[in-house]
Amino acid sequence: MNRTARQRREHGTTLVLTVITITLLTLVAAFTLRRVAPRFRMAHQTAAWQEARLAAEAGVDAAMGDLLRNTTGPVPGAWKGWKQDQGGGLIGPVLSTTLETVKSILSLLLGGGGSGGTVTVSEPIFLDNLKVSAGGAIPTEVDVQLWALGITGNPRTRWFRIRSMATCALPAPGYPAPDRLDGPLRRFSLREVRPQLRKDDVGAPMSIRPPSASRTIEVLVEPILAFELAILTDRSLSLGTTGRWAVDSYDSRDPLKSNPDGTYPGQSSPKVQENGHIASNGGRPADSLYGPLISANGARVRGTVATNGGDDPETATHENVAGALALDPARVRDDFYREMKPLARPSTENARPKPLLGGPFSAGSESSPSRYLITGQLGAFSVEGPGVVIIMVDGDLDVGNGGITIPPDVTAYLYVRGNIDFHGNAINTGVGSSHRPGQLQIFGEESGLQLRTLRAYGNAAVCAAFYGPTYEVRLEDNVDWCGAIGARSFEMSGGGTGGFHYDEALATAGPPISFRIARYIEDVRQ
Amino acid sequence: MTQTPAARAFTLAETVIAMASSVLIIGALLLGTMGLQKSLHASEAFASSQSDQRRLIDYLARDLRRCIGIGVTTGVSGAFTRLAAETVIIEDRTALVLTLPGYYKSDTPSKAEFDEALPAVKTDKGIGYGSGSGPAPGVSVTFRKVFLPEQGGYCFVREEAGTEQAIVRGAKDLQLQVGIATDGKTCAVEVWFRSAFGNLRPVISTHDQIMLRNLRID
Repeated sequence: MNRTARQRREHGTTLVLTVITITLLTLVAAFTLRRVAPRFRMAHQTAAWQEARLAAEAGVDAAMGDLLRNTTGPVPGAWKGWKQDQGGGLIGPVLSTTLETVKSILSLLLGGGGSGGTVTVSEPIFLDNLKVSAGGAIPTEVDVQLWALGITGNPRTRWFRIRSMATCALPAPGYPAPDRLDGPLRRFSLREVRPQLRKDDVGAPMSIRPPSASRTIEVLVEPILAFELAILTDRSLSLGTTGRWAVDSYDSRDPLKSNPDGTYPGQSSPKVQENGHIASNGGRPADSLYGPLISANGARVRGTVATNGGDDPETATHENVAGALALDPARVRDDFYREMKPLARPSTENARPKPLLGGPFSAGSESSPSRYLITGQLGAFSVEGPGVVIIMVDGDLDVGNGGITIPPDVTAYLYVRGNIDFHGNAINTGVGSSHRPGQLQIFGEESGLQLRTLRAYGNAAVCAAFYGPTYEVRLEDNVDWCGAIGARSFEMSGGGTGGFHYDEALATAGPPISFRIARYIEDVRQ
Repeated sequence: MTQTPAARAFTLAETVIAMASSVLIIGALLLGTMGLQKSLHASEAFASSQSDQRRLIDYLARDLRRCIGIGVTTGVSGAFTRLAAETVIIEDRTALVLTLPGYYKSDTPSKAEFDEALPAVKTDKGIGYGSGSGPAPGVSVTFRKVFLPEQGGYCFVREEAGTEQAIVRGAKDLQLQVGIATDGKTCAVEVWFRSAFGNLRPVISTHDQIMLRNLRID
């Protein structure tokens, strides 16, 4: 009995000691956790804040991709997945005319003028609650709004404004960061969403509730037009090998930079300009990063020569251009790349067939150009104006012994699926021609995986702008070309008395082939 | 059977052993707790310094990403120099000056238009933000390390449109270096401090590479 009672007392003492020890350890652990937990929360909050910017930029990228899909080429796209307010609180799919229509009469009236002049603004279209996070990642949603901005009446020069707001979830409940200096920078929505943020929450409300981190990126996007450079290639670029062959520029709109009739003033004229820029997208193999991507062959280029890499930054010489003796080293670069997307032809609905007996094509008005569909081959031709004509050729364009005559009051757009051969003829440079490359714009269409060629030789004199990313351009002998070329490759064999003369008026004349961000803003006061 | 007094109490040996054990256990607990506290304090100080590093880089990155001009002011006169492909340490009288594109209707925090964006207007190069009088001028933002008595020591401050804001407190040992790449398209920011702990007091460095999204016009 007595032994048992003493044992009970000893067990009780042990229990008390154990409880005290456990309590002490628990207190220490709780204190440690209390001190450490805010730091973990802060790390999570900072990660979500960074994630929100990446998501907002992903929203801009999504909009840029849809811009490219829907606004390059002559046919407006369907803007799949995008929505707009159709009035009366009704949200629906994008109407084909939305971005074409100016939002307010006022902006139209105020439009025009120089710097500071008002631009026309369309109604916005938007992507609603775009989910940009993978499963298991921080839940993130983006709302993207897009407006079309007009500087001139020309839809080809239309800019766009993209505003993308991304919201990332934070772990609940929401606690402010342990360091108060973080607050003004990260501006978390801990308990409720700020009214300024709600303005950008278009369409259905976001499914991510506070606590959350939101960031807004806004960009102004300008179009990249097809003829901004004298020569642009996706692969090889080889310049003239003999004679006085050179690349230079003039401006057919300015009598101080061209002849009084807007033609090229001649290589030795002081009116000749230095904006004959050439560039190639072609890259070097992975095992040989530095080496030539453009063969200048001793030809002079009065403009910038740009490649996609190839120049060793450790050396003073420009390895990216071969035969660069006549080039200005200060105008050789290696940081160029520009996506070249083939353009699609306009609708062939109500298109007329080829004129009978080789007669001239008739131009229509600018708002309603006449359209022709040539199901076979097209030879030499002329157009009677005034106005605009669109000629779509399913087969080859081979002028044979003739030429192409585009009068001064006509602009012709040619869409060709086959090969193009100018032989040694006058293309828009003969009697009665405009001599303006912007008035003969030729687009080489994509034909499956087949490569096409554009060829001219002898004493061919061409005044035209050509864009065909699947076309290999081969010029020989004394070919003289006024205008611009965008092609898969360019090769000038010989040169002689010829040359390549970029008309600076083309910089704003071509259709958009891509877009670039002209201004990047983060709206930090929202 | 009656109990003897000896059976009711601990023997001397038991008491001595129990006391010695208790002292050992409590001492170990005390030392452990003190060590834990010291370690926790060191970790907190380290985390706080890293949080300062991160905040300084994030402030800079946010502004560098959208800036249209980068320069430094040095010396007593505060002469401005455009920052080309070079590296500078922001301390003493050297301040980093970024030019942000004009975007807001007002830079006065108390005004209602403080958070309102300007409309898009025509510019010489296409479209930008501005008003009828022309494109909005750039806004200068300055980052510098200064001694602020009211904050109790050295701080990194960010000044925009005359409003100065401390973004890092206790920055005496925090160093900031900004470098522009040779191609002018990226900017490297490095922030480091010397750890207060450990025999070697290692340098803890954090850096970021930021793409300059806008073309510089300075």
